[in-house]
Amino acid sequence: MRKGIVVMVLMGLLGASGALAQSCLANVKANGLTVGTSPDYPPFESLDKNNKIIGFDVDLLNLIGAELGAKVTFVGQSFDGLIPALLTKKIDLIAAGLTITEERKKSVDFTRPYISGPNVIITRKETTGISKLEDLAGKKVAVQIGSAQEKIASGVKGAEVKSYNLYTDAALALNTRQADALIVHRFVGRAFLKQYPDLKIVAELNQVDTGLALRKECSDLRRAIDAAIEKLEKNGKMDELAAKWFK
Amino acid sequence: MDFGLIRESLPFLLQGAWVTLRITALSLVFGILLGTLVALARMSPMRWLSGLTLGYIELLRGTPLLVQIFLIFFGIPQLTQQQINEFVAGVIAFSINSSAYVAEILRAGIQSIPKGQREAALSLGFSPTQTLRYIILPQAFTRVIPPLVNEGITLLKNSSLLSAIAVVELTRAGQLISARTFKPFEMYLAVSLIYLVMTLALSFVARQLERRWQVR
Repeated sequence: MRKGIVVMVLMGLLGASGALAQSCLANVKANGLTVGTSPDYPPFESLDKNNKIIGFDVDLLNLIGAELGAKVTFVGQSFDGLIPALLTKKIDLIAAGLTITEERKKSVDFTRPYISGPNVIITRKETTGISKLEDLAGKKVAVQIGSAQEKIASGVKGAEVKSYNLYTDAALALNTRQADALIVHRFVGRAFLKQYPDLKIVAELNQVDTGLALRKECSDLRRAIDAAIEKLEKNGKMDELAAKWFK
Repeated sequence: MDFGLIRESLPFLLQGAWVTLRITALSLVFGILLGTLVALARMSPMRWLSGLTLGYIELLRGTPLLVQIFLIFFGIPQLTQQQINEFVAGVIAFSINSSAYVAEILRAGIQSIPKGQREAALSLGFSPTQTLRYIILPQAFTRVIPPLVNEGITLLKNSSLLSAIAVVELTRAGQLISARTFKPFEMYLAVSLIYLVMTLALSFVARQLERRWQVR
């Protein structure tokens, strides 16, 4: 009898988790899509004068939300806490110019890439002698904590990696001479260059893919978003967005 | 729970704890030295000097420590065009900040000694300096030990703020690992325990000191 109850409870739990796994898309349609981001990464996402989150990712997610028929809400938080927030269901999706990496794929699922481009090395204009990754040996390299670029910097022998909470702080550290170089995605690098005219791009690194991240059990939502992205690529909306933000 | 992760990241965390301890110790020493000067200036009969010090103390106690850290780390290089090492920037920010609190602790300690003591000493032929040196300060000293240890514990915990300028102290060490492994719970639990061991050790030392000095 006792055993029977245990089995029933277990089956109930399994059934419940099975039902949860099925309901990501339905849940999002009913309750809206909560999107986590770190608004220190222009033009993917940043804060405007009224502290509203704007950027490529915001426009993209609003278009995707319209395709899915879900209301999209953005939540700004620290970059390194995004994946834990996703895994603990505080958010449904990460849209933070997130590079698709093998390491992250162990914990989360990615949608199809929506942007591809290289990372770049940025220095101050007065700096000489840095033109490739190996030249960063013995230099202070500013990156964001938990970023794919931090991983690249850590891979350079002898480089002194400085991880900041915000990417904007990493750029500020470079501009105020607290660091010698910065590794960042090219689009973001260009945005920083507009803000800090004393900086320059000195090298392009490997191409990387950028995607949206979801919990692994939400494969139904991921498929729906993949279809939406594909549609936006076909009907030219994606190019319009790219032209608006990445010019 | 992934205890294996805690075990394998322990050496890195302990390295961070060592940085935390060094920053705390250096800042406390400089803070006490600077704070003593500030306390003396604060109690000076010269009105302009005590007024100036009051302004100094209010400025440091009335603004967030994190803002003071950013001001020194990002602000000084902007003004001087000189790099400032983040460890040094941290120690400077903490020493200055701590000096304000230490000064008030010392002033309270000195002023808590009843006036009669000073009057008695003076009437017995002690000079004002001798009165301070032999009568007031030794008594004040035992009274300020507990609040000074508190200040040390506060500094130790506040040193986690330096993670924001990329000093790899204990909190940052934990953040770096959790940002890589996406396991914040294990990491911050381990980090908390290491902080707790350090603060408990400080409190223990403080109790021993108090006991030794209060018997006399």
